[in-house]
Amino acid sequence: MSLPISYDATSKKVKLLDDVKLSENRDLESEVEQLNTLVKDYINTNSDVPGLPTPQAFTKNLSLMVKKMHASSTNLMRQKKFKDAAKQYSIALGLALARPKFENFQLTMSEVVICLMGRCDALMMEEDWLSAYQDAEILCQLAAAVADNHLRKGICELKLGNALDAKADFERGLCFKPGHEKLKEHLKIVERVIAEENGESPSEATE
Amino acid sequence: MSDSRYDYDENSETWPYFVLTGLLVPLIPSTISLISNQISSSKTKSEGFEEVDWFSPGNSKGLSQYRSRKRRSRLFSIKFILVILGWILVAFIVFKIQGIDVPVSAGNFDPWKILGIDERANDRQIRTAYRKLSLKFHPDKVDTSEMSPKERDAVDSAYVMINKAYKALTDDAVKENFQKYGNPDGPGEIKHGIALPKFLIDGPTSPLFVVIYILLIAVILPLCVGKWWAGVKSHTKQGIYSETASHFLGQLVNFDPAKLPQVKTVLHDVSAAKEYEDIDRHLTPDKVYELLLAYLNRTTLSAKEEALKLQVVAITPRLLLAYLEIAAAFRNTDVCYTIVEAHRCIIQALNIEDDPQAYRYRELLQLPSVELSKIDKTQHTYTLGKLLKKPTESPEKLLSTGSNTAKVLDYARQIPLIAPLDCKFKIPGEEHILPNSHVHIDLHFVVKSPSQKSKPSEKLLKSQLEEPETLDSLRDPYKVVSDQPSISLANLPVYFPDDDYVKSHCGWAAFVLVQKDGRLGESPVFLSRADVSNLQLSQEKFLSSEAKVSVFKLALTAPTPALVGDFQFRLVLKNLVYFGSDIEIPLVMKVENKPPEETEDVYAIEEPEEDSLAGAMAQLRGQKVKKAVYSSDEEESEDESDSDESDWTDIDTDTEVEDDEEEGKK
Repeated sequence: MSLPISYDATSKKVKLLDDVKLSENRDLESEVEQLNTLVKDYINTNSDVPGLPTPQAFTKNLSLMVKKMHASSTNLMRQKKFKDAAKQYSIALGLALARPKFENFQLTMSEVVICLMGRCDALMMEEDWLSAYQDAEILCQLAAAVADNHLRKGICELKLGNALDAKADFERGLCFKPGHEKLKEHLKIVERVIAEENGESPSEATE
Repeated sequence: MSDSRYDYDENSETWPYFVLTGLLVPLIPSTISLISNQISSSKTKSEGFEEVDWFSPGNSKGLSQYRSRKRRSRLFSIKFILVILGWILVAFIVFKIQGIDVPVSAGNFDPWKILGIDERANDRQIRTAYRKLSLKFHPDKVDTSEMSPKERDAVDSAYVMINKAYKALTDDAVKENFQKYGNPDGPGEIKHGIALPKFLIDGPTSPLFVVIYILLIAVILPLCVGKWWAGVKSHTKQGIYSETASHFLGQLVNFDPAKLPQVKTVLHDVSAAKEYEDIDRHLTPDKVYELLLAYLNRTTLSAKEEALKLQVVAITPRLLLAYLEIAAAFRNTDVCYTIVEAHRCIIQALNIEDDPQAYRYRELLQLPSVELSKIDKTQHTYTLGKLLKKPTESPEKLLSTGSNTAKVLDYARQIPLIAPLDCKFKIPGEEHILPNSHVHIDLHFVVKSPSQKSKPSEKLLKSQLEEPETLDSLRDPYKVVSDQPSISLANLPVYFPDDDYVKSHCGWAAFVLVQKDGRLGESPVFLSRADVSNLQLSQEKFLSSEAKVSVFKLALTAPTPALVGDFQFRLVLKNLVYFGSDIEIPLVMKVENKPPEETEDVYAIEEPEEDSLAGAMAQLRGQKVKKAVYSSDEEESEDESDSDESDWTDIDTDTEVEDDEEEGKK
């Protein structure tokens, strides 16, 4: 069985044929895209076999750029320009993700997490709860052990009106850092909200 | 064969008995199971599960047709017909047996009959009866001169028989012979025969008999065994086709974590199940999916389509639960939650995904006769609790249900919620959680109605909360759970066709999640037994000690970790039938390695401490010393989570400040 794809020698990319329906070949398209990215990174390494992905061998420039970008967006946050900060964080995130695929992945992970945290906070200050929730959700999967991530996700849930899920998030955050004051406070708030939604008086619920 | 070396059952003395036994052996157990099934089904009907008669859903006609057909098919199943046929045959054979006239021979020697007395007669009665008869039949007493030789013989043999009968009942040796062989003369000749009439074997029908015999052994028997084995192979443990199971498996193996699992995707996965082909061979997965969506949207189709739709809907929850079990093996929490959600959507015929409002108001929309377009959306009443306890407006106006409002509210009041009282890990017979041991989650809870406020205090229910540790409870700690009545709902859901399914699946699915990665720690367990009598209590009585506490125990299959420490879990209970009855409980498993406590010798001299002078001396002497106590580093584990941030401390975002502001905004 041959797939409906063709290879373009000049751009060194694999392409889907023009007469193919995109809607029926979503999976193939994403696989072709991944292949192209890998090939591009491979060509850029300029060697037959890419070097070993040790934690020491990485493009230091890129890390520097991400750090700079992150620092400037944090500055913007201090100046309360949250919209611009969110944009800057997105750029930093893009940079972090653009790291060549044949390099060590460990660094990408921590950079992405840091940038996402920043963007999530900026979006929350911007009160764009839905976008912030998406970032927080990914954060909770990438770095589940960081209690603050659950706080972020919980606050978004609460603002979006899912008090029950918010409660679960705060409780989950608390089990990683039992003394976290913010989480405790928010847990109390959310319990009050749930009680109110269910028509119970708050004093009874906190018992 | 023609050589008659065997005696055949020419008089039909024996073979009807054989046939009767052969018939009764399978017939009696199947009759008992049939009757007990009928009884149990009529019994569950009497406890709760009432049909809502004050509201008829759009598909009520199709529903009643479906139910009556199901009832009929249950009553007149193939099994039922076979059992009836079997009993008719039994009656016929019994009638035939009664008609058999067994010729009297030496084998049918009955001393009591000969003496004309009762079997319970004592020695004296036997003797008098014998005397009387022997006086009458004694050859010397009877005048045989005018008799024919035949009559004379008869009198002689009668006297011999009387003597024999008397001896058989009185003389020990003869009596033993009679009891052993049924004959006072001792063992007679042994006859071997075939319990079949001769015409079957020696007559012209004998080839037919041989053919039937060969068919039975060579064709029918292998066929039956083969069919049974194929049935075993084609079905999985959950009772679904293995093709269906492998389809579910494929869906989960190829699960794309970037895609959000939704009720619709789950139903789409399920619609490719092979089970639907059993309803109608021409059903394609697309058609099934279309029918399921039509059901969720509560649209009524043409009569024929409607019947098909209900048949499709009726088997869907079973498939969903099978899918759930497979998804749980992948520890995929999101898919499992969505499957339970899809299960509820099917039972309540609710589409909660197309319209965000429908999702918001799902708890109210599951009440009969409540419609989304009629709900007053200016009021922020989304839950049953708010509706029943603190409505901002009168429920009649809020739901626009007119004269039915009181009944709707009553329906809502009977929906069971769970209020947890006490939830912990437990090892039977142990105070602590020890490493590498089998542990279960012990949940004590009260079932409450959405109209009941708060929950009774644990002090009042102390006697119900405490479980005495008797030998029995240690042997089988789950007996307390299985002793509880199974959950019965006051009302049946209105739209779902299969009542029996709801009756057996109206509890909660319990999931255990590992907090660290948010994935499932165990396959789901169903909470199907609880005391729901609390639903009928008034508010005051509910808060008093009259509230009944129920227990649920969930055994963890994996042993506790080998290391000492705290492990975080979450217990999630999701109702299979109703929306708004889910709870989540965070749980900490504190694994401790405590040796059994030694009774301290109060008067003994303590060993000197290691770093004291006495200790040093004792060490020199080679005696034991107490270890010096140093304050341990408590912070060690806490900082672990922040380690990946440490590189970034110089540029880290100032979340603390933002959150403060966040707080200020509230």
